Amino acid sequence: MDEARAISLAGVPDEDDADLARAATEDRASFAAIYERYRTPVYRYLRARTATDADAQDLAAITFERAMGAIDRFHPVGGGMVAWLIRIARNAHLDALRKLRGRGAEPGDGAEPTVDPSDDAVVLRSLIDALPRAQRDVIQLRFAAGLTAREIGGVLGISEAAAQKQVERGLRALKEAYGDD
Amino acid sequence: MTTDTPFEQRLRTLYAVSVPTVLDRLIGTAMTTVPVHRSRRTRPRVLAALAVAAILAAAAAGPALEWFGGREDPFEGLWEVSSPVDQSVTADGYRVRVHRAFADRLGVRLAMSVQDLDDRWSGLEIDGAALTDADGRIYEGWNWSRSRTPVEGAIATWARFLLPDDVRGRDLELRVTVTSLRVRSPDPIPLDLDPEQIFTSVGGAWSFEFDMPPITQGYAISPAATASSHGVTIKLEELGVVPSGTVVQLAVDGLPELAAGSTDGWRPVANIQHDGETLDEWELPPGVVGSDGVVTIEALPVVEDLAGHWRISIHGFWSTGHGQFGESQGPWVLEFDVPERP
Repeated sequence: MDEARAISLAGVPDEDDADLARAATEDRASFAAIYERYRTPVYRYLRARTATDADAQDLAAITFERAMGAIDRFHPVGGGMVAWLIRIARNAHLDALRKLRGRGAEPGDGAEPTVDPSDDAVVLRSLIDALPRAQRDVIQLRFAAGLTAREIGGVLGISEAAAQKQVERGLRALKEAYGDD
Repeated sequence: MTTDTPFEQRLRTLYAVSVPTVLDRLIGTAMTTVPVHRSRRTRPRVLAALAVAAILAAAAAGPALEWFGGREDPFEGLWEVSSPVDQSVTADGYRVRVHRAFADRLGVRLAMSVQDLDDRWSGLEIDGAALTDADGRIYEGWNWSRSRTPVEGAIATWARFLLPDDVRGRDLELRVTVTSLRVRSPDPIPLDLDPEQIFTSVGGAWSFEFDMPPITQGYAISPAATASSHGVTIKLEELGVVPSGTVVQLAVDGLPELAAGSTDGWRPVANIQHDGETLDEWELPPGVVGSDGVVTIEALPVVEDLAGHWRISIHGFWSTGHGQFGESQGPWVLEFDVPERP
């Protein structure tokens, strides 16, 4: 049977993260529901941080593969499963950057446009890439991964209030740079 | 309902890309290749039997040595500090090699590779290996997805086995036996192929005997750092580093008692940062706060120098049978600076 098709037909059962993790621990096929539910935030987050579709795809595959291997250790706290997956994705991306730097390459930490290359998109992208790392991080977590402040806090290891503050700070800086005051 | 401003909506649109379908296929394949890893507490014998070794599928042909000698995180540098074994056994057309061995407090690691000499298959994996010593101890295999790496012409892995407590510092002869390989149907996999048939097993006994490598002790310090809240006190016992990982050992006092006779325990939910960088943390077996109140956490990447600013946040504790503790009482934050070594 076509694996890709099996996943797309799996649907997303209305279960909470802990139930999904428990099921995937017992039966690898149940991981399809986790993938189905979280592939979009994970992929979009990685696409926002990488230069090409292929890079994002590779890192997303690594992320879900690592998650499969560690699913029995998932704890439903600290922002839930999406935060847990994004943390794995974040670490996979950092690993890749370190590897590139170790080889003498100097990869851009940001990314190039992935939507229609209209001027507006290109300008916004370049402004986001120029933000301080912490602000760029929260902008990508909020708007690419679509995380809530609580989930962002889970990713970054900070409180929900502190995460919200960082998002607002990043947005303010971006709006100022964009001239959207 | 969305409360986004037009500017925020524009940002969401900027990132609104579709997930490529090829990713679905990659994950679908991984679901057939990544072994199920159940909790050690609930399935101890299963894990011990599977014993690890790692592994993954690979395609094509080419030397595994390049991968080992490269800088594949998190094992960068392990090759250089490990001891040569350089043994190979060929059976049924599969050559299994043990290239090198390394040991530190986080376990014995064996640089292993498997090659299909006839290049008959598009993928391989080791799915059974056991490590024992001359005194009969069994070294529990510890599966770790990051040890699975496809390289050209072979699979390559740093298979990992945990050190029994009483083996530290002793010179022993080790014996590792790969008991089973799984071979994957070549690509493209027919759409009507039963998923159960994607892999078939090849049993055997690829056995190797070699001396236990010296157990690298690493470097450890005990900075003063304590956090208390709601009757729970967490103290940093030790911060250490060995070539295969960074180790944080905590003493925890005041957690709610678990039911008498419970085989479960409290697992910390931690976030570890060194100079602002978040380390990926994993509890070491048993992974729970033990009866002595101590829990050890393994973190990656390996911190080359412990000097710098550390922030260890314990957001709470999790127990399979007892739920959560600490979400409203915590977090407990241990924050301290480690000076440069003289």
